[in-house]
Amino acid sequence: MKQSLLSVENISRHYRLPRRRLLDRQPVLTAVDGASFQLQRGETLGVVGESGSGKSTLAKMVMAFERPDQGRVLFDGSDINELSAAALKQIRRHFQMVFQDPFGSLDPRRKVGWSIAEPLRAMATDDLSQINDRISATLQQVGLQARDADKYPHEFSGGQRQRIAIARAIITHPALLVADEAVSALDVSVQAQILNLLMDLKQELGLGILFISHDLAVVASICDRILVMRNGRIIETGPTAQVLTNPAHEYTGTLLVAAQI
Amino acid sequence: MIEVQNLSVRVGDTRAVRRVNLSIGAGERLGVVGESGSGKTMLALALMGMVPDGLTVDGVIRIDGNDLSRASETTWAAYRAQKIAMIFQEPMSALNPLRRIGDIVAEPLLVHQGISRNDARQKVLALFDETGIPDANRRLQQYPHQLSGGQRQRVLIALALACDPSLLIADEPTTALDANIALRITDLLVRLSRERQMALLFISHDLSAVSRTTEDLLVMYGGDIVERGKTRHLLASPSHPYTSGLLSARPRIEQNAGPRRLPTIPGTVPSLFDLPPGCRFAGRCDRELPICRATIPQPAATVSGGFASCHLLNQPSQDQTGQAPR
Ligand SMILES: Nc1ncnc2c1ncn2[C@@H]1O[C@H](COP(=O)(O)OP(=O)(O)OP(=O)(O)O)[C@@H](O)[C@H]1O
Ligand SMILES: Nc1ncnc2c1ncn2[C@@H]1O[C@H](COP(=O)(O)OP(=O)(O)O)[C@@H](O)[C@H]1O
Ligand code: SF4
Ligand SMILES: [Mg+2]
Ligand SMILES: [Mg+2]
Repeated sequence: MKQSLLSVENISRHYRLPRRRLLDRQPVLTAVDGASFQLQRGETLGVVGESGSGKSTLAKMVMAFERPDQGRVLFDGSDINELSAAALKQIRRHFQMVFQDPFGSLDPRRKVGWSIAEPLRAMATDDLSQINDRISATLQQVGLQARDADKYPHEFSGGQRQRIAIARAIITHPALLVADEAVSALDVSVQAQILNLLMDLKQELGLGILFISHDLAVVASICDRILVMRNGRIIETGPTAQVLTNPAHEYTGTLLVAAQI
Repeated sequence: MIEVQNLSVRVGDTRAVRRVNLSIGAGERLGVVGESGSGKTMLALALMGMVPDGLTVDGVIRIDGNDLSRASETTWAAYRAQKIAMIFQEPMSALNPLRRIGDIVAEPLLVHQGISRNDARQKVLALFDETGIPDANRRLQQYPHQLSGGQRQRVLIALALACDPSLLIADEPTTALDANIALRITDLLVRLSRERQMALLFISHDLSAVSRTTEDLLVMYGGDIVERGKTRHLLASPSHPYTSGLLSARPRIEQNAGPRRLPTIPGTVPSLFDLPPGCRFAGRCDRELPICRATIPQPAATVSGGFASCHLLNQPSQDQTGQAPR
């Protein structure tokens, strides 16, 4: 059988909450609770669920930013939490992330060209002489201009900054892109452009995309399959049309109703 | 409540907001839509007396009859503390990462309303409840990074509402929120505006949130208001090609959901420094006329009972309904 690009096996993540009184037992919040799923190359898998349901926590574990308290995350067959720091750094180029908060993720004191090239420099294995060509090409790929590389983040509006964040994520030609609310801050027209762009990138580069969004309509228009989260658990999963037209779970139905008002 | 005449925000020798007129009375709700870069946030910041350094504002801003266009920073600060509040678009940068969220929201209550710690705490709890922050009691103790994105957004909303503002400016308040919570927040804003006679300026690109929340609507493009009217009528029968473009780019849940290309408006909002001399939308518009590139269109009455600035509205071939032919 062909190996999945990403295979998530029964992962959980707990956070400790503040005690109410000094001697109380410290309460624990289970942000992700036994999640399992697979993602193939060239597939877009949507993750939906209400705010606080654990979507971003799931993303952080897939990206190896956080360790699961239980379970495994396999990228191309290898357990990313078993890799040495050096080995993890080596394969990082193959999975990149676009964050929910594009404002926090760009260094305000650096020109955007510098920020976009950061993942390339971090690997330091590429021929850096062509770095400027790569920056120009990538900026154009996301609908910006080559000369935008010399500007600072504050000179761009919110939507433009999100394009910059996407440029930074795809500059290493990754196999997996984790997009956490990547289009939520964008206006509808740019959102449509970016969604089309992601679909093109998926086709051109065979990119697998883990697409997290609270917006069902957005997920419906880009994802092949959908996974519904609630209280840290995956409560439903299936092909997009099936989940949206014939939800197995009552909760998915309520999300659908709210999305259509 | 607030009245704005001929408001411009200058950036060097161009403008991010151009000669805007608007007014919002007590209890009224005005929406602003437009792509990013069209000047919505600049407009909002001008109304808060907070445009970034290096930019200048001209025109008249009257709040409760007082002209604030030449007001000092101290005067503005007093207005911001007591009368006008803003929910900022950037939740992370607007919250001090080193302070507990309960303290952040309680601070304006302690400072400006002079109420006791205990009362402030009760009020913060009530605000957290109203904005749908789960498990409010425990959350008081948490730091911003311990919340999910949507929860942080709701903390900002609670903060803006803490001092009962008479004008609330909400810049993309529901963008980071899922549909259930977004519904709850827009319902809350509408209710507060009714109950407390709060004037609301609701900025969003989420057209369904705008249509639920506002009565009147401005469509901005390249620093100009290109169409205005009653929200319901304007969205039902848009007159400006830009408004139509925004409406058709919206993703919708359809019968055979699955990956499909969405219609888009080609290109992006032009940079302020190379705006076309005539209609700013020329070059991206699918109905462009020969006159469009060179001549700025003037506002004309629309079918929806509002105004739009587009040469199509002044075409002789226009039929009785005022709808230009396809
Ligand atoms: N560092 C942390 N410390 C404590 N609790 C946390 C931390 N990070 C997340 N949480 C909690 O875990 C739960 C899930 O958070 P997560 O960020 O995964 O939600 P989400 O589904 O991405 O929500 P949103 O749509 O609002 O972004 C929330 O209750 C959140 O408060
Ligand atoms: N500090 C600044 N200096 C110069 N130009 C700016 C600054 N901030 C924003 N702009 C420009 O002003 C225009 C309007 O921006 P903004 O009001 O943030 O748009 P919106 O909120 O509609 O996305 C954009 O062209 C943007 O690039
Ligand atoms: S004036 Fe011309 S270019 Fe501008 S919106 Fe109307 S038709 Fe399009
Ligand atoms: Mg999140
Ligand atoms: Mg803005």
